[in-house]
Amino acid sequence: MNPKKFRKQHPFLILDCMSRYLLFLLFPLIRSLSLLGGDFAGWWRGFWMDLLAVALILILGLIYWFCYLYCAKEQEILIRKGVLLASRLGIRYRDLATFSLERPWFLRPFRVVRVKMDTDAGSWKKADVALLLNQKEAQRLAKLVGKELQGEKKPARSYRTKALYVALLSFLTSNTLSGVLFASTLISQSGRLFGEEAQRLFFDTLTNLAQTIVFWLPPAAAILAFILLGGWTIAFLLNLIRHLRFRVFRKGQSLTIDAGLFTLKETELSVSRINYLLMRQSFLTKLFGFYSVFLNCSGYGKGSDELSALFPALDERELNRSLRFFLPEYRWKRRKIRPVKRAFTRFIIPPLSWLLAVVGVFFLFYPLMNHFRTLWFFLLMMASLPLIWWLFVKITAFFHSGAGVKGNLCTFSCTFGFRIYTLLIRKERIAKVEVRASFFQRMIHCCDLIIIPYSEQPHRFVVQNLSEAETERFLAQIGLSSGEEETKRPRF
Amino acid sequence: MSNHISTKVLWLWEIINVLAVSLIAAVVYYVTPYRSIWWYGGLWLTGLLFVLTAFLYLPLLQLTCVYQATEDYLEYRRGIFFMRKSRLAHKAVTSVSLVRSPLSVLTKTTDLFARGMGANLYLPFLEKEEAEVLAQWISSYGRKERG
Repeated sequence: MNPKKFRKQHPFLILDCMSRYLLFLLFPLIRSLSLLGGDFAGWWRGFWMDLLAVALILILGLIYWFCYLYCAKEQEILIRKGVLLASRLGIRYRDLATFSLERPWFLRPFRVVRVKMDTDAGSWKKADVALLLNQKEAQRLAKLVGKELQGEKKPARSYRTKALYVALLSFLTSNTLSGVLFASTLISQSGRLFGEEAQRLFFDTLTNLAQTIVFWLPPAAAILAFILLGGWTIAFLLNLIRHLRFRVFRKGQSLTIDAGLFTLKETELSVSRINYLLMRQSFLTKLFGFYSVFLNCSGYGKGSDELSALFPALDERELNRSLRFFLPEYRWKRRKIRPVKRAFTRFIIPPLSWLLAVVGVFFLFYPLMNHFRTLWFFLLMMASLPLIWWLFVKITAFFHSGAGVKGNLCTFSCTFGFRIYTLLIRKERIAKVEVRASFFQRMIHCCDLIIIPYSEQPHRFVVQNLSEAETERFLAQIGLSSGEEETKRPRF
Repeated sequence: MSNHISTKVLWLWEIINVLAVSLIAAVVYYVTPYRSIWWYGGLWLTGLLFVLTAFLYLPLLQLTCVYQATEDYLEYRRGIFFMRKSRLAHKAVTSVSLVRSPLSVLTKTTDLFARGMGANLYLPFLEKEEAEVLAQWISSYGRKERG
């Protein structure tokens, strides 16, 4: 095999890229819809146009496959693609942040692998290089990249997560909206396939089930609760399937992460290109002392259905041990600067204000709700419960928030919404800081510290209500303050 | 290197302030019942608003808008009631551009836009010469870092 020769990808790419040209199917679709009245003969006469559209898509796919070439050299990869707008891209392996091999279940019987490579530059929405190769070629490329990413030879270490902990991660990160969207697409598509009757039967069954199980709730509220719970359950299961068999493997200067049940994904990333680690907790996991650790590195966790998990769920003792073992560069320090004591009310005022507003609205409109008393009361409960939960989170935030530095590593503890975060970041990976103080905060000499780390997508972490003087000293320690700020501020 | 933003921008803000207050006064004058308590109250409040913004708020705002460039970072400070200090580390800066918007042409100023990975910093209404010196300084800092 000549390493200098440009090669084509696997022919499966022709089918894979057909989704780019699905717009051409619009014409046959419109034609079919216009003849939906039952004129089969008319539709059959024009069938050749539909075939032409499909043939056009196949030909374009073939041209795309023919013109998308790659050349994997010893230290770099070259990509040549395009017909009208030809482009040539060269990426050195040592500049890569992540390298991943994906084996979807439908490609595995054909031994086809999706290879993705990403650097710190380029688009934040998709990988810099995405190839479809046969298994042998993908392994060869992985070996070449691995040599650069791993660096000096060190013993390999691995960590496999228990399925229960993956379930805990899915529990924490599942999003009702994604589950509801998934379910609604599934139901509407299946209705189209199996007929409207089947769809109606499904909805009637759901309504009866909701009424039977949750008989003490108004039917509309029961349906809403079912939709939310159902959506969350679907999202939970999807996340679980994607992250089962989660394994972390450290070799030299690279970290390899394997996961997946049906679609196997193996990602190798360079430790020096990790932007930051993010430890995430909810109020419940904070009480039980569990952490989920995510890492931010260009190219890892980029897909809309992917999480950038490192350790799905572990307690503090296991966390310290795992970090010492796999990422000794990240040894976290407890917070050195904390929120000002007088700022405690600033933490609890937002949830209390909202709670009072909700209760106020309830009593204001209560006399008008003669026929909807039960539903109105139910809505009050539904609105109050998250606010009371938020209040507990904000009280925890007061005792959790802060910042610390140990050597080259900074630790920032903050909250956002219902989530509790701890950010571990090296000093050189802090891109920007902001110090923000409202009029009331300046009265008690406190401010918010906003950290914006290196990242493909902008992310912000807000540590609230820290002492102004301590914040400036902290920033001076990490090289982002001259320490003379107080004298230079204009006085008026 | 440290300085306020150009004082010429204050003239622009004052003109915009006069136009905005005139619009509010015209609305109050024609919408509210003539010589009613709302009419008098509305006009008095509009006048008060004009005095406070023209002679107090806008000049103070211009004074608080300060930029500073040190060895390690680029900073922009502004705000009266909501003070904000943004610092962009030099090593995070990947490109610097000078932007002239239509407003900048009127005030003969230039805006500086420093882009980094995951973070940007925007310095508006700098004097033209100062902006060019600052842009060159930041770029030369980047070259020194790379060696």
